[in-house]
Amino acid sequence: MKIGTPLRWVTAGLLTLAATLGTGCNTTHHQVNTVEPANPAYVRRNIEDKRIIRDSSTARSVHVLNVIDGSTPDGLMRVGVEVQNTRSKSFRFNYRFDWFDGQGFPVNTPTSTMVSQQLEGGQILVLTSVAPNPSVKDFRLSIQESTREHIPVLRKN
Amino acid sequence: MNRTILATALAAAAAVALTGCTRPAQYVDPKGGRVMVTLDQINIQDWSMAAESAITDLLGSGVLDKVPTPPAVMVVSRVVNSTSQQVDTDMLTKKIRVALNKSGKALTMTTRGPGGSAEDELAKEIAQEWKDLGLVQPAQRPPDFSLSGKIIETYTRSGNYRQAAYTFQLSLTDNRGLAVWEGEKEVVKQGRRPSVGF
Repeated sequence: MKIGTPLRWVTAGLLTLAATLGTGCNTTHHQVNTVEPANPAYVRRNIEDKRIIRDSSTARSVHVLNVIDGSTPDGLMRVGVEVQNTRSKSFRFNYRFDWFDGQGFPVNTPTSTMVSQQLEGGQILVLTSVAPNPSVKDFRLSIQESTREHIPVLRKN
Repeated sequence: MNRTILATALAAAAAVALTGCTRPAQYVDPKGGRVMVTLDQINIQDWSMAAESAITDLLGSGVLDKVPTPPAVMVVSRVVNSTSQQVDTDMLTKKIRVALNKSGKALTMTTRGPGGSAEDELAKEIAQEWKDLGLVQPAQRPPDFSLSGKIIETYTRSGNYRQAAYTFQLSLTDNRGLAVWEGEKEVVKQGRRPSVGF
């Protein structure tokens, strides 16, 4: 079936418009360069970690480099997870630290909340958290791509 | 014929899109990533993020351990609301109090507040009764710290895009009147319209 000329021009026009708009809205190709001492003065205590990857795309955008174990001056467990966006585009994600006691039960705390973060292409960041109390023995970090979706209208009450 | 097919396809697509956009009321995890984000309000996740930052920084500083008899005793002073909204600053301070209480690092005195007010008036009366009877508890001592703060709103507009920045400032002052810990967290939101999820 031959597509009519007007329809072909409309389709081409829409595709061109979409490409233009997409390019104009694309502000995500600004990658980050980093400079740091070749031999850092700090001494990090890296720990082995277990990773369960369900979203490989997010795993590339928030690539875990190191898991750092430490403590605060008053003995609370402190954790840092160094991540890097290995892609060229910026990436928005949410993360949350959950804490567990010596028996493996979760410890309910106001700090166990989703935190929104954005990583530019190539950017390195350390996600940190402090244990809520001295009985905490373990942690789990959850990383999820931004769940934002638009709703058409919000009615004012 | 082609126009009919195209019109039918567009109508079907619109119907599917509109159906997908309507969603019945449902429960969502308040600590998850699917709560609503608006620009003209401090949302619950904003309070949570500000409190999380303050708690992490405060516990990490170790300042609460530097008291003669741990755990430290803290009172909550004024948290000034410098935004255009009517907010209850307990949304911030209560989370901090809960976390400090559970950490064992600090307890909050509910019988003292700014201007002589008490969060729990009955507890204040009971404490006075104990005192009047000469049965003062060993733990009843003046507070070691006072927690105060301010919430500031900054609004920016560029064409159809809006940016709302909420700055949460907190200070922990000791009994010498010195701020031994200070924290600040900025929560910045941009967009043209509200969304679900962040």
